[in-house]
Amino acid sequence: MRIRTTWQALAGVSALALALSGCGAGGGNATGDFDPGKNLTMIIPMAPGGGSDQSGRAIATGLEPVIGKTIAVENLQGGGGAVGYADFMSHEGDPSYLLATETAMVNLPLTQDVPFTWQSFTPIMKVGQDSTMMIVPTGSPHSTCTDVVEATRASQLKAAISGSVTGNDAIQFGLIEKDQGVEFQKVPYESGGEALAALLGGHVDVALANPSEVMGQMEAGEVKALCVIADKRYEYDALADVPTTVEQGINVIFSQFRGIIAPGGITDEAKSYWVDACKKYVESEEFKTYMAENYMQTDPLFGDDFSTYLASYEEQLKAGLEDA
Amino acid sequence: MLENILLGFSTSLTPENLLWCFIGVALGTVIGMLPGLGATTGVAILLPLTLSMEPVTALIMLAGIYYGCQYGGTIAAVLIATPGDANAVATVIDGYALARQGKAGKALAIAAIGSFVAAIISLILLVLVAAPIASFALRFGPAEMLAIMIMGMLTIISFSGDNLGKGLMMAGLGLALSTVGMSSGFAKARFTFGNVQLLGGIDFVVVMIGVFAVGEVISQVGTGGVQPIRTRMRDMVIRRQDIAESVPAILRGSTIGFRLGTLPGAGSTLAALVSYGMEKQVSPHRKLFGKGAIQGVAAAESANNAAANANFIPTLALGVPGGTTTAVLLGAFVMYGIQPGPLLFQNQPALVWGLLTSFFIGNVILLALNLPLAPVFAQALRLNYSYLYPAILFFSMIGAFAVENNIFALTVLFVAGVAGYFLKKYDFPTAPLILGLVLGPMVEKALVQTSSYANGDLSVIFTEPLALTILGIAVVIMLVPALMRRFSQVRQENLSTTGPLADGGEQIDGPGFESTTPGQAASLRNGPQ
Amino acid sequence: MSEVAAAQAPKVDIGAWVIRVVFLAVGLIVLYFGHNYKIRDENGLVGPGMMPFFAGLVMVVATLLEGIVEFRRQRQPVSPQDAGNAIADADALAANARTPTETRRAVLIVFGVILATVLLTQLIGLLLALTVMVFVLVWPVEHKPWWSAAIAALLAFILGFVVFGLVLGVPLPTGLLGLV
Repeated sequence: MRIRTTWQALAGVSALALALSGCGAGGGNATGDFDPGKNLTMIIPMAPGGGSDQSGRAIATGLEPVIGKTIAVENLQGGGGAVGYADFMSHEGDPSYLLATETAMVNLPLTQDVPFTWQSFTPIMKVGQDSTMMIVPTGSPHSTCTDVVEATRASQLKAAISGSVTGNDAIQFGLIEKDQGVEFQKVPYESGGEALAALLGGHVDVALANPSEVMGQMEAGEVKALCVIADKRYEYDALADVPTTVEQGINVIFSQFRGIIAPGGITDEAKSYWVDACKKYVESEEFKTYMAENYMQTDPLFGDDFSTYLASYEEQLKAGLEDA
Repeated sequence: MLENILLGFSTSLTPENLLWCFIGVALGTVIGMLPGLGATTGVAILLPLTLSMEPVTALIMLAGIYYGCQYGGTIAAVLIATPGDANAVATVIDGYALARQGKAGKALAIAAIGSFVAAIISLILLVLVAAPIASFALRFGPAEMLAIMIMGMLTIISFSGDNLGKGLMMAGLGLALSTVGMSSGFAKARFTFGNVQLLGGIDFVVVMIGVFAVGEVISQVGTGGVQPIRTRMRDMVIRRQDIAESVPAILRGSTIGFRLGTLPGAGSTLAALVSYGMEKQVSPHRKLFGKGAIQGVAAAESANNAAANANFIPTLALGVPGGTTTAVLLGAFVMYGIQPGPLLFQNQPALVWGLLTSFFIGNVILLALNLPLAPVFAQALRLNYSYLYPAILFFSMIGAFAVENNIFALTVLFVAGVAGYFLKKYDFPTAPLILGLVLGPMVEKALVQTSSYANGDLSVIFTEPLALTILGIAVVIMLVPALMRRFSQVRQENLSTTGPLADGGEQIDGPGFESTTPGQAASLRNGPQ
Repeated sequence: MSEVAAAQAPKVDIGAWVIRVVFLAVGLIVLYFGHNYKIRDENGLVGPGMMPFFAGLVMVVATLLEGIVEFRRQRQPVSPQDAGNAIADADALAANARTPTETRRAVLIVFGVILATVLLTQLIGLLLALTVMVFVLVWPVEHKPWWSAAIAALLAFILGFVVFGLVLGVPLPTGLLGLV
C-alpha cells in the first residue's frame, strides 16, 4: 500500500505541473461521472502522529472505497499549519488535492501574517468537532467550572494553555474570562501532554483537554472533568455525566472542528463530486469507529453549510481573541 | 515483579515479536544513518505500516526503530560528521575526530557498548522504580525546567573549546536564529518579513546537516586530496583498556541521561549535550576531548540511550509523552485502540511488559549486530572521497528535504553549508551554533512559562529548592572547573609567559578539526595515490 | 613535509575579521529588533523581544570581546602558540597539493553545483537533480571516468528512490516537468 501511495504522490505533483502549465485538470462532465484526476493527494498541514494527521489519514482511507481511487497522504508541516495552507494555495483550481483542515485555517489569518483566509479555499466537509473539557487534578477542591471561576475571582488560578497564546485553549479561557469578568493566570505549554504533566505535578490549577487526550488519566482517577465547553453533553457513556458550561451558567460554547477542504477556484462539478463522496463516507462504519475512538462529536456539514459554519466560527474566534 | 518480567518475555520472545523487533532495530539503524531522519521522523513515517499488526508487535517494532535510529545516527555522526538529531552533535565532535584518525571502528564500538550498558541500567531502573520516578519527574515545573535549560546553556562552555568568545558568538547567532517564525509563547511571529516559509522557523536539523555535513564536505574538497582513511585492524578494534577507561564516562552518562530522560518535554533532547558538556569538565581525559576522546563518544551515546529508555517512564506510567518520539508513540497507542494513561500497567500488563522486555532484546540485537559490524561500517571511509562526498551531498539534500517535506529546506541547507564552510575555515566552533538553535526555543519556553507562573518574577528559580539545586549542580560542574583552570592558567602564564594555551593548545572546533601534531597527522595521510 | 615552510608565514585572517564584522552587524540588528518586539510585555511578563535582545546582546558583546582579544594577540610577536596554530594550518595544507587559488576554485565549484542543484530541483525534481549533481561532481569536477560517474549516479538514484520514495514514502518533489 505504501508503494502505491508513493507513486500516487509522485504522480500527484505532476498533475499539479499540468495544471500550472494551463492544461487544467478540471474538465468537468456531469456531476455523476466527474473525474477529479488520476492522482489524488491529501495534504496534512501538521506533523505526522498528531490529531490532524490521524483524522486526515482516516478520511483519506475512508474516501478511497467510496470513489474507487487511492488517495496519497502528504504531511507538509511548519508554522502551526501556515506552511501547508499557504502551499495549498498553489493548487488553485485543481480538484485532485484535498487538505485535512481544522481550526488553524480560521485562526492563523486572524493572528498571523499569512497569505490566505478560509475563503481562499473550497470547504468540502466538516466531520464533526472536539469539544474541550475543563480538567483539574482529582484532589482539587473544585468540582464544577463555576467553582473554578469563583476561585479565580477570589485569587487568580493558574491555567495551562497548550498550543499557542493565540490557540484554542487561550481563546476558550478568553471567552470564559469575558463572560464571567474574571482573569486567569495563563501559563503556556507546547502541547496537551506537557500541560497535562504540569496539571498532574500541581504546577497549574486547571487545564483544558480533549477527551481522547485525558481518557486514560480520567479512568485512573487522576484527573476529573468539571465541564464540557459546549451546549450539548457528550453522548459517549464515559463522558455523559460531564455537564456543560451552559448548564453551569457559563455562557461559553466552543469547539474545534475537523474536516477537509479543496483548493479555491475549483468548478462546481468538482465541488459536488467531493461533497457527494463525503456524504457517502460519513455513512460508513470506518467513519463511526474513527469518531468514537477519538471521542469526537459527529456533526457532519458539507459544502456551503460548512462555509456558513466557518463564517460564524470566525466571528466567534475574533471575539475570543480580543480577550485572549 | 518476577512474574511480570516472565510475562513480558513470554510476549516479547514469540517468534513473530522477535522478528519484528529485529526488523525494527535494523530499519531504525538504516533510517538513523540517513541525514535528517531522526527517531521521531522514522517512527512517524513508519507508523501507518504497523496499523494492521497486533498492538504489542507494532509497539515493539516502533520502539525498535526508536533506539535503532539512535545508533544509526551515531554511525552517520562518526563516519561523515552528519548528526541526525541534536544529541548526535556531541557524538560528532569526538567521534568524527576519531574517524579522521582511522579509529572509527573504535568510536562505533564504544558507542555500541556504552549504549548497551546505559540501556540495561536504565531498563533495570525502569522496571523497578518507574512509578516513583514518574511522580518525581512531575515535580519539575517551569522554574525547574528553566534551571535545566540554564544547565544546557552552560554546556556551551564545553562545546566552545578553547575559544569561549567565538563559542559565545556562535551560540548567540544560534539563539537569534531560533527565534525566527512562530512561537507558541507569543501572539506574533518574529523575523519572518512576510515570508510564509519562515513562519515555520529555521529547522535546526537542516542547519545541522548544512553546517556539519555540507560544510565539512566543502572543507575537505577545498583542502583537496582527502585520501581514503587507511587503518590497521588494530586501530579499528576496541581494546579492553579503551573500555575500562570509558566505564566512568558511561556510568556518568547513563545517570545524567536517565535523569533528564524521565522529564516530560524537553529533557531528553539535552541528555547527550549535557552529559558531554559535563564529562568534558570532569573527565581525567578531558584534554583529549575534541581531538578524539572515546570517553566523549561514550558519555554522549550512553546518555542518549539512557534518556531514550527513561523517556518511556512518563509515557507508560503517566500517559504523558517524555519527548517528541514518545509523543508519536502515544499517538500510536490511540490508533491501536489502547488508552494510554496511568492504568496502562494494570490494564495491559502483557503489552507493557512485553514492550519493556523487548527493549532488552532489542538492545542485545543492536549490540550483537553493531559490535562486529563497527569495523565494517568504518570501511565506508575507505571509499575514494571523490565518490564519497557526492554521495554525502546527495543524501544530505534529500534528507534535508524529508525533514519537513519542504523544498525551502534546500535553500536553508545551502546557506548553512556556505556559512558552515567559512566559519570552520576561520576556526569558529559550529557546535555552539546548533546548541543555541536547539536550546533557544526551549529556553524561551521555560522563560515564558516561569514568568507567567510567577507573575513576571524570574527569581523563583532561586527560591524553589529543586530549581536551585539543579542550578547549583550545573554551576559546580560546569563553571567551577573551568574557572579553576583559568585561574591556574593565569598563574602559570605569569610564571612562564608561555601564553594562555600552554597546556597543549587545546582546541576544539567540531568536525574538520585536524589532528594535533604534525607527526601524527602525517601518519594519517598517506599522500596522494 | 611542507608545514615547516608554511609555519613561518604569519596567519592572515582577513576572513575571520569579515566574519566578526558580520556577527557584529547581525547582532546589532537582532538587538534592535529585540528591543522593538518588547522585552517585557504589558503585564511585565517575558515578552517576545527578550530572547532576541539577549541573543543580540550575546553576539555583540562576545564579538567585541573576542575581537579585542584577537586584535591584541595579533599585534604581539608570534608566540609559540601561534606557531602551533600555524603548524596545524600548514598541516591542513600539507596533505593536499592544492594552492589557495585551487582551493578557492574547488570550493566555488562545489558551491555552484549545489546551488545549481537546488535551482534545478524546481524544474526536473529533487531526485533527478541530485542524480545529475552526483554525475557532475564525479565526472567533470573530480575527473573520474565518466562511466564510473554514471554508475555512481545511477546507484544514488536507485538507493534514493527505493529508500526515500518507496520505503519511507517521502513525497519527493517532481518539479515543473513532473518526471520522477
